[in-house]
Amino acid sequence: MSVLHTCAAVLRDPKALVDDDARRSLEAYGPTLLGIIVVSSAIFGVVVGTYRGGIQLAFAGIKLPLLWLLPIVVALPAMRALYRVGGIAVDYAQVGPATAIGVARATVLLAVASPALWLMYSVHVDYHLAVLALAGSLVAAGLLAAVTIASVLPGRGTGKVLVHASAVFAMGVVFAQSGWVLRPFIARPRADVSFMRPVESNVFDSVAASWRSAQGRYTGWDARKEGLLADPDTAERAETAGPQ
Amino acid sequence: MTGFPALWLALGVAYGAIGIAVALRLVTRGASRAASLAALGCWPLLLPLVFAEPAPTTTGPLGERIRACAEDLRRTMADPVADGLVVVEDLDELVADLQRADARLGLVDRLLADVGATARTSAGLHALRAARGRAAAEVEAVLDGMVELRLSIGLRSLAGNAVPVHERLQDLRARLGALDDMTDLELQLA
Repeated sequence: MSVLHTCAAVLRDPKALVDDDARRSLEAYGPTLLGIIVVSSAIFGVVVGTYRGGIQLAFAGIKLPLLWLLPIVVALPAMRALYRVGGIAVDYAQVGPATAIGVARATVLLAVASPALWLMYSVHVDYHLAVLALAGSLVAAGLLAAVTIASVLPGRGTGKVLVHASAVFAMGVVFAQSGWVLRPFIARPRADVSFMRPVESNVFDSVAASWRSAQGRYTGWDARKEGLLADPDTAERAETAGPQ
Repeated sequence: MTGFPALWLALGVAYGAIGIAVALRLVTRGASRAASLAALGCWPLLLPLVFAEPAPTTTGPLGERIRACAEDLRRTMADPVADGLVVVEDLDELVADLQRADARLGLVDRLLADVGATARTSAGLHALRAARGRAAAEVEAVLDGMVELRLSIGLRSLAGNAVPVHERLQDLRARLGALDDMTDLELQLA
């Protein structure tokens, strides 16, 4: 099946790509689906990079494919474990193609919709509005991917909806944190352009700080490096400094 | 260099090394070039191909029936009514065993066709024909067992009783394994 036919199948009838023999599906369509994800999300990334222009075109074009591929690579074992716990007979080889199909569908639609985002960015909208538009597009595409994954995988049992929701939530968490680690996708107009910011805090702390700000309490924005990948010296200095 | 980039570097190198190993393994198993290249970057997705049983290159006389029985049983197990059957790997392993046994039958059939044309009265030929008949009967019995298993799943859905699907599939695999043992015994006696 050609790449264009696979694209059409991903959009029109994703279940057609799932063979009875999951490994055969994986070998037949896996590389093509990965290629579709990389190209489609790179197109979307370049469009996102047009907000700042210059080298950010390349940076965003490289990072958007990583943003979509990381959840596939990282969340697969957790998703499979959740399906098994929920009593849904899903093989590891079935979860992989289903996830790739869902993500490919989302990224193709993002690429198709990218001219609208391009038009919006071309009229020089406010930075925060540009970020919101990007986040909204990614959330919408992520939800579409989640629904597609749930529809492609075999599901049965009383807890089908709960298990699908749990597995997709696990993937969503990885997706959100990947986006946090790989930022910025839209560089601030006056900030220096960099490929990635230093690893600091996590997406959930950021959401909590945003929530506090929305309530008028502008605290908690002094994000510092945390966790396994944090710089120990910086973390120690932050600990000794105490609350400010 | 602080600990942070060093850890990133180590993780990246380990990920890349595993990717190269998986890609090389896929090449040796005859996977497509695209799959091998994709494994360099996304090896966790393509890992099942590494552990997949290599498909037999030749099929035997029962290949079509094996395929049909396996598809039917998979479809029955995937039915929404057949709740709670987590036996996908067991079925895959049984089908792989059946395909190997069928490939051996195909080899014997080709041998019988070649040698039988010139040595009709050979004692070895008679022994091979008899062994082939027994092996084919055993494979067909296992296929009948798969049909019986489908019926059991249907009964379970009506009565609500548990069917030990895992144990039944293991029994069928053991029966195929016994076929190999029996052939070994015949070879020792011959």
